[in-house]
Amino acid sequence: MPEAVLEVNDAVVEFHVPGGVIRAVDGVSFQLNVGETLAIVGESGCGKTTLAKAILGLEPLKSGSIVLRGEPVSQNLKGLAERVGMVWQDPYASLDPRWRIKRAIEEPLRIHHRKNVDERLEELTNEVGLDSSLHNRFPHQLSGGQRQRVAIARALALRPPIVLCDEPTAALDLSIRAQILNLLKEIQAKHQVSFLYISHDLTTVRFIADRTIVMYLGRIVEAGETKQLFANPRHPYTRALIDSVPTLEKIGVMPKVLPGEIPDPRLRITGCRFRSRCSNRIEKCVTVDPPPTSEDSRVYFCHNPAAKRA
Amino acid sequence: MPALKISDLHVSFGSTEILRGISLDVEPGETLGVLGESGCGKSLTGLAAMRLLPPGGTITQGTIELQGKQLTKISESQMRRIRGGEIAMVFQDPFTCLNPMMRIGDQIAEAIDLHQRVGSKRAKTKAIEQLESVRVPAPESAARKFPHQLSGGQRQRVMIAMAFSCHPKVLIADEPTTALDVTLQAQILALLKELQSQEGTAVILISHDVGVIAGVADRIAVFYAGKVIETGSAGQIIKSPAHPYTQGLLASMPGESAKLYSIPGQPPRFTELPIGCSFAPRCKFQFEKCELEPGLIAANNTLAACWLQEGTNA
Repeated sequence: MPEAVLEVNDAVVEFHVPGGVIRAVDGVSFQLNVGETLAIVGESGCGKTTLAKAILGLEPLKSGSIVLRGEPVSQNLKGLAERVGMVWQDPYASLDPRWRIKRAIEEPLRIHHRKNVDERLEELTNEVGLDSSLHNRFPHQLSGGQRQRVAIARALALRPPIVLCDEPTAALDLSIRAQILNLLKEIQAKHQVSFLYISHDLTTVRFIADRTIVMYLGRIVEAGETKQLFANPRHPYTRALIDSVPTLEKIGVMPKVLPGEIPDPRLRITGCRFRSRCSNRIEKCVTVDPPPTSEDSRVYFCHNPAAKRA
Repeated sequence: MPALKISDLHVSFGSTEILRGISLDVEPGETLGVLGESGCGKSLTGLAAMRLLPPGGTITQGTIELQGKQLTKISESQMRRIRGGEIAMVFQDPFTCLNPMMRIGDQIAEAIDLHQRVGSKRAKTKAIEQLESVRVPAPESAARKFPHQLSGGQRQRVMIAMAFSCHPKVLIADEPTTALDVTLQAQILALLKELQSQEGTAVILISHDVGVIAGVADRIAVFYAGKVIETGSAGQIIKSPAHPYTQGLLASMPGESAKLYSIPGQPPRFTELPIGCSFAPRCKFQFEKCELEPGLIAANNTLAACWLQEGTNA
């Protein structure tokens, strides 16, 4: 059995909004293993960012548990920074514009009274491929790629076993994105850190993730090894997501269209939540919530899965 | 005759030149993909064609011809009649482009009445028809909604409805799907294609996403540091790019390999452009001749601004 650093068990997060209650995360369970990259993908509103916030202890759970290295997150919020690093989408927004780079990277070390701060600062800047001559610059004096490197250095400062990446390359250009993705892989190989990689960019996920979880309306619809999942998606939603990604192999071919949008999350949908957009819909989908089906290293929740691809 | 033809366009902000001789054209019914990274001048080219340059920006040289009409020479009041009529634009973020205080239907009707002078009542009916054509569900009630009451995908549909409401000859779409999920992206791209083929619109699609461009464009122009550095048919640019920058850009698309290719360094600042070829400092093929700036040279299948191409077709 691989060793888990993070276990999410039947987690539920609810929001009270005018007109009802939204279950943004509705009974999600998975584990993140040591040294692996696990991606969570889905459209906006599928609950992936809420789940990330719950893991950081920023959203309280209605029920279920999130256990980080044997300890529920909600019990030790202070020490959380030592256990989970965080890289956000936009480094320009996540770094203080009035702080020099040095101070931004050092801050977690100082708060946690670490020794040898200067040494660690050198080490971190080297590791993320920044020149130490940049230490006295301000964020606006750096390029987008350099700023994201600073954010990564900061996330790694306390050597947390988990780094949560929320769309870390979405704001970057293609050539810079490649640099950052390579860097994340290098860091992982060196330190055995686990990445929880939240993204809607399937091209990137395919490259970086060992395993992938697909979410729809607060639920997991399919999860498994990335290679298998992309080669042979069984849930119609996973298939539609993958088919709608434009790739270089399809010159002059428009991506396939999945009609409709995510329904209003206030509606309590019985049966399968994806059924309003699903081309494989059968009668059972209206009434019966699809149970998990295991197949090879993957699990999907569907009554009438897409045919296997050769 | 091309629907839009930009020739040797130069745009400067103060003493800094950002667009350094852009030439491109697009035929009716054709899609030209403009590909490039942030700060390469691709959006600015779109804005220049709309005569919507940000304050401080001036066209210092070159011409923009819309169906034979010189847009660089006409007055702002004449341009106002053309903008949104014969030439329209769709932006990345529909939320910032729509008036938050005005109902959707009224916003579309305003544009229709302005350009077609049909009267406000007729304009409103037309606005609802337009919403129907971009398949906004329940168009009549959607017309009475405010922008924040619609989803991101619906808002982008509204923007497209507005852009097509006056049957433009040229549509400039600047990253129209960048803020959207892949599923909505596919929907919006399909919608754009459909309306384009109905109306025979010439479309300039500006994007940093090679995949989107590969799927939608007939021809591609690759931008780097304010210049077109390679141009050709979509198939040729994607399958056999000649310019080292285009090659690098395509190789940095995540694929099967364990490590991604990444172009070393960063694009130059416009204030400190290298002498000669602006890509040379990042180019692994750099040689003496790169100290001179190359123009577009016929490569095997494309036109590329690179000295390596000299003699390949001789």
